[in-house]
Amino acid sequence: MIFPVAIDTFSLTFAALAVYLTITVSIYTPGYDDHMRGYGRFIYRTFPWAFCLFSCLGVLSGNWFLFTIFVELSSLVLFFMISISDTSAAKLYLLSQLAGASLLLTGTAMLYSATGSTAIGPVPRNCLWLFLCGLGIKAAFPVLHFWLPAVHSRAATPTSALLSGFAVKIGVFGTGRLVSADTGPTLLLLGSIMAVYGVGRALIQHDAKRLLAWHTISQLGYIVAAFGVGTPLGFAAGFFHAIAHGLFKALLFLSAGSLEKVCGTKDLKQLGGAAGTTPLTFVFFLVGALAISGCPGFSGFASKTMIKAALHESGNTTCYWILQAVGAGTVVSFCKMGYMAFLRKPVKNPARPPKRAPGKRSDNLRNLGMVLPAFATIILGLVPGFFAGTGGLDTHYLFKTANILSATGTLALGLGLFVFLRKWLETDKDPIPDADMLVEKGVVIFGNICSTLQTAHCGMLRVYIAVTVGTGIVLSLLLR
Amino acid sequence: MSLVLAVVTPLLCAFLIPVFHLVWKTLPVCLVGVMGLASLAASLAAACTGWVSPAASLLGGWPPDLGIVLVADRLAAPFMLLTSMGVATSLVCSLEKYGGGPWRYYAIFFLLAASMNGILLTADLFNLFVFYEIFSVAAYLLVASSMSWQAMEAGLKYLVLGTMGALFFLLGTAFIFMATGILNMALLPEALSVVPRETLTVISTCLVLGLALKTGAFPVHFWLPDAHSSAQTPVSALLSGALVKVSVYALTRISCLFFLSNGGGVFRVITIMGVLSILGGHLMAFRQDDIKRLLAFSTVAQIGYILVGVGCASAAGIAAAVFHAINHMLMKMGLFITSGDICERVGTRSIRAIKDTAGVLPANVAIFTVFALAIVGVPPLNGFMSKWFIMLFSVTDTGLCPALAIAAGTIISAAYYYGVVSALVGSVVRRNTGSPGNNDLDSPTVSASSVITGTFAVLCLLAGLAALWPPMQSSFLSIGETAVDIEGYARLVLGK
Amino acid sequence: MLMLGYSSAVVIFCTGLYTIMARRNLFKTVIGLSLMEASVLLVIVTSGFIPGGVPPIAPFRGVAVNPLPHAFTLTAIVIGASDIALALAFIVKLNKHYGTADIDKIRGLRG
Repeated sequence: MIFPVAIDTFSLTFAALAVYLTITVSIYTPGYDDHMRGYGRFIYRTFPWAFCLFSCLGVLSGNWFLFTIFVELSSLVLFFMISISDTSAAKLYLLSQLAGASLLLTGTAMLYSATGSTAIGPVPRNCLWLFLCGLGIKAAFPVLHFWLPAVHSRAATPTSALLSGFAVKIGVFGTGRLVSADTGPTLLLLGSIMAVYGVGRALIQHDAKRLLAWHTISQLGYIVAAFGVGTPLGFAAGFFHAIAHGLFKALLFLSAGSLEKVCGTKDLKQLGGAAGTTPLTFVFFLVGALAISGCPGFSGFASKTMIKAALHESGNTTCYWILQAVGAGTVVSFCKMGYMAFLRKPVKNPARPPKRAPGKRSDNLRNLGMVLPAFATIILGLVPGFFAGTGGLDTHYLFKTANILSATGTLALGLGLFVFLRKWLETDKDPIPDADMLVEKGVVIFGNICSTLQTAHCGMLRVYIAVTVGTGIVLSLLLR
Repeated sequence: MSLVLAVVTPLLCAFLIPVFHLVWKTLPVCLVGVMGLASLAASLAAACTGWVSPAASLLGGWPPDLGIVLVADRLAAPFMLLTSMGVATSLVCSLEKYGGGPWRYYAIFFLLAASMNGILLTADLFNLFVFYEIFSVAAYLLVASSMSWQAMEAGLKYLVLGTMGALFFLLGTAFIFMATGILNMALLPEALSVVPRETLTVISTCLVLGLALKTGAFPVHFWLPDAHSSAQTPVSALLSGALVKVSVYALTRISCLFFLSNGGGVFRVITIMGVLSILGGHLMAFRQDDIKRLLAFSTVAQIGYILVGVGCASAAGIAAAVFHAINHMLMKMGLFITSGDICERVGTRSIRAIKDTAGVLPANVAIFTVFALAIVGVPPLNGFMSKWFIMLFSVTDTGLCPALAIAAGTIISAAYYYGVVSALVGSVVRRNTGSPGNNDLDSPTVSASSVITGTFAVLCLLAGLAALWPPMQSSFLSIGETAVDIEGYARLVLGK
Repeated sequence: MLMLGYSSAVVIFCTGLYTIMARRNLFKTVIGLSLMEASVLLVIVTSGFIPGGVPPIAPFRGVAVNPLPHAFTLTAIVIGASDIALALAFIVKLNKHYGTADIDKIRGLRG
């Protein structure tokens, strides 16, 4: 049986990203899990490659059915990896991804009954909502993102890197394949909401990895909005930002993991002065932070400029200014993280460093692992020709003075806001309800339904007989 | 000739067992084994006949409108294969667990096998009822065979509710006889087309209610969790794996022959019951602490999937339903046998208690996990494939609601199977971190039942991959086409 | 004659149904089941009746009623008898465990 494939630039680049990130994680992991033994260690060393295999097969598949199968398998592999460190986060991940895959499968069934084929590409309007919900769970659309912060922050660092670096990209990859005239306005709206909400939540976070997880949602918003523009430039911009984000977000997660390994905690309130103790980690963090903030010379600048150009060109000025504001917010947030973790003087009660300090070898492995995404980020920032070309944009456009000024202006604004708001950002905030509350309420309702059914199974034979007779009466009415 | 043998051989074995008991106090295991093999051979021969060259055999040489006809066609053949595999597996497990001692158990067992073959082969409505009653009484006895109070209570409730179902079925048959004067299932479709609407309503209500009750569809499934969880392990496996499928066959056959052209309301009702079974079964299973009761409720839900497939009233939908019936047999028998082994070793059926023990073998857990992944619907195992086909065809034929119910069912079943598998894994972890004094449970024996469950696990994977292979897909489609081909059935029965 | 047969079958069926649903003694449940079975069999036998017919025993002196329902009824009576016997055996065994024949108290399996 022939495996229908869809090999084009879009899918091949994503597959290459998957392989690159898996190599990164494979080099990094031995430096991170040196305290583990047995089957946990085995899973951490081998499962990333299974994930890579399934993800590549998924992005290369030529119909939605095979895409769903391989996405489901890759989620299962990640589930095993997450379950080693935190079983309840793993269960949440498994159930939410299964929900997404089931919705995708239902959508594919509807697509087949409507058009007679399941080839990958835009879908008719009546099954669009199923596809968007299914892919939305994977790509963390608003409300459907309820699983992401919890899972990304509680998983082990290499797993988080793969999750934020590639697993969510599969969702936007699917969204990219769906892009058509119908999807434009919806995706623009979703993207803007995601970007703003993500950054807003990130600003009040003190857990380093949770902060990065919220930023993932925010950056995915950029990508989705870019796809929503509908023009080839918009598509190329979203594509570029997806690849760039995969690389620098993986880098940021890996540096946060390194920080956790050395200093013993990921709580920003208890960190400080790590720039002195782990200078290399600080350098890598800086590369990632500058990339995500859109500093010229890094990949984030090039991709964000392309997105802004696409929005400007198609006349979506509201979205353009929203994303500019979000950019400033991103800068503020990363200034906060950099300051609290690396630059300020150590706090009065620092976290106790782990009993067994990681050795030289594990340090080297981790740093070597982080070199790869850092290198790619810088190269893509300086030579973005490949991606710019796919959007029909001249590379020189990206380095036009206006664009560089726009980016540095955002950086300066963000830095200024940070200095102004520093005290406010460091204090604790009351937790504001998030989509998790909806899930909790849903679980309560679900429990009530189960309890009602359980009381119906009371064990009394007369009740059962009465229900049988009742069913007979209902059947006779239905079969008239 | 071979078709009658499929019914007569197990019947003969059932009657010979008490005779042999007079000679040997404890029946030799190989004797029962030989009898089992003979029955298996006869059933498989009938199944092959049905698949390769569908045939009818007139009993006693009476012409079709006067006598009883046995028919094997492409719809009956997969069900015969399914039941003979189920009976053989259950027999092997019983022999392994109990030896040749309980002769009454084996006598009833073979009686059950004979009646199942009878239901699958007959083309006469009253003959179907008679075989159905033999089947039911044998099932009640097997459920109660362990003589524990739970088994007795389950047996009583199964009996009362089952007898009510049989009564409605008999009433339906009586009304058909009163309306048309014929009882041959091949002649009835034409005769029923001139029957007035109200009579057809009553007939369909009685027949559907009776058969749905035997199948275990949601509002009338209350006997199923009790019976399937209180019976002994080989009996539970047989009940969940094979018995409910025979009822599904009867429901499919009767609905397609009598109601496909006369009024599509029956299929809509079957779909509704299917959706209710999926949701009700999964929701109830979610709360269970007893592992066998959880598996029984899971059976209710899986029957729902099959009913949704049947309710499509198209060749493709019924083919998908048959595929899921076969897959479910493989998965559920494997689950029951493995969990039965585990519960015996550990001494408890409570999931919470299993987590705190250390007696579970890693091999058992691995095989259980394969079946659990298959039944939840993880690609590329067979459960995923059959669920996909049912979803596909139900969206085309009946709308979006059953597909969304199937999607919801996947998530809920993942949640509760995750609970079971994590409890088992927890027990294995405890075992490996060395709790002293458990060495008597140490030796993993290679028993016949573990060989069978291992084979089923491999078959699950192979069936899943084979489902993507076009020749396999067209074979299954031919099953569905036979089901909806009323004229073909009539030609088969009457032409001979 | 036909109306008498069918109406008494309906009355007996409803009596049986009422007994099953309203009476708590397990023996009465069994009796109710038996009544329901009897009513269905009465329907079957009555369906074969031909007004002015004679019993279907050769040689006939006129039109014989349909003997086929009689055959069905005999088979069904046998089946019904074995069902009832089994039910009574279950009740005896359950009484040993529960100490009662009250159907509402026999609910050990639930939930």
